[in-house]
Amino acid sequence: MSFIDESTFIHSNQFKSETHVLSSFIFPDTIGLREYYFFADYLKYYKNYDCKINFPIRRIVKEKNMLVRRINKMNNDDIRVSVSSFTDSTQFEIDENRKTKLELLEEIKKIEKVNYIQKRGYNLDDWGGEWNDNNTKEFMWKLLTYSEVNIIPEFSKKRIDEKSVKHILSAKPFIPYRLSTIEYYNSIFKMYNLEEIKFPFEYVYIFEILEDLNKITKDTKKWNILKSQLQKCVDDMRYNFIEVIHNNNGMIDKLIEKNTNKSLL
Amino acid sequence: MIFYVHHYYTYELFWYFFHGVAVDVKNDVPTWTYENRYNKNIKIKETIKINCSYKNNDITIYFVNENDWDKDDGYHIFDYNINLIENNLVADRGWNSILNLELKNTINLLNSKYLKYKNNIIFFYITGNLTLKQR
Repeated sequence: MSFIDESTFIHSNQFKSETHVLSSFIFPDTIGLREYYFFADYLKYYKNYDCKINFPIRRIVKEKNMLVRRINKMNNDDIRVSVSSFTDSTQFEIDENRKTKLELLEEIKKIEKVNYIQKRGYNLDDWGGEWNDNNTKEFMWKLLTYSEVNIIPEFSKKRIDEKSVKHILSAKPFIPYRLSTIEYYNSIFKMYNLEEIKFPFEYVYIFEILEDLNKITKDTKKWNILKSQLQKCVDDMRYNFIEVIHNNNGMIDKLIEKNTNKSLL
Repeated sequence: MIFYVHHYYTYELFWYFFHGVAVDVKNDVPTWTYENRYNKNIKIKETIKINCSYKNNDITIYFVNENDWDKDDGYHIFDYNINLIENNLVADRGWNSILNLELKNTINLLNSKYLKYKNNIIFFYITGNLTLKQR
């Protein structure tokens, strides 16, 4: 390490270890994401789903609400929305947009068949609050078992977050809000000579394929084909994810490369 | 290759930093047993040494917490977010965007170690609230 200044940005000797990015979701296991890896064995045999596709929401933002409106407009019982009590809780979501978010929440709750998950129930139904670890558990038990496929909102094309990691570790089929989520993982798989994932749709934003999904969910044969394609995608991603962190270490690779270059000079 | 990890040893931190290595899990990655089960919630302050290998390179890892900053035969690892978790300064996500002041303190600590010992330091840092990118 060179001497670094007191700013929050380190200008030199900066390196991103992709294997540590993936590993940081699992260890130390502070929010329980590791349990999703073992939950895959349970999901494999689970069949009692309420609908084909669900868009789960916890924190309400405008992009998610746009998608809710589009889903609602399709009026398709097989493509639903679920919302958690996160926004109307006073435990966490307190900011200047709270009023708008509460209005959006009320709008979503009015949708017919919306699955509203109340976290503060009585005794055994009390999840304890809106903290990351119990939100993770809520998602695992309540939302991986609600629909056959989930839509997951990861908005940036430059990063991933825990939503895709949850689905990959548990081998739960998902459709990302932006296809760039798949592309991000593919860039890591390519780096480690693993086969890239071929997603069944080409798009930038999910809005481009909503009408296709609307039609496919109404046709059992087509739906089964799509579902098995999505299952294969996530199974392959899970295999690759594990291969990457079981066989590689970005930090040590970098040091070996650095030492090799030094000895050649 | 030698690493000095400046955190309390846990088997989870071993896998976080050193995934991908070849190691005898049962004998060389310590965890709690019948004999030490009452110490499970006590931070391990003693140095823990683990031998392993990675792509034909022998590796020795020492979890040393605050000790051994003066060693100049290896790389010193310090993770900003793990440090915050160890000091109970963040919730379970391991990141708090209002803690930039704490980052300044961390950088001052690392600079002081570097100025004193001129050793190799690897600093892990998550860049944003939701990105979980490790540098």
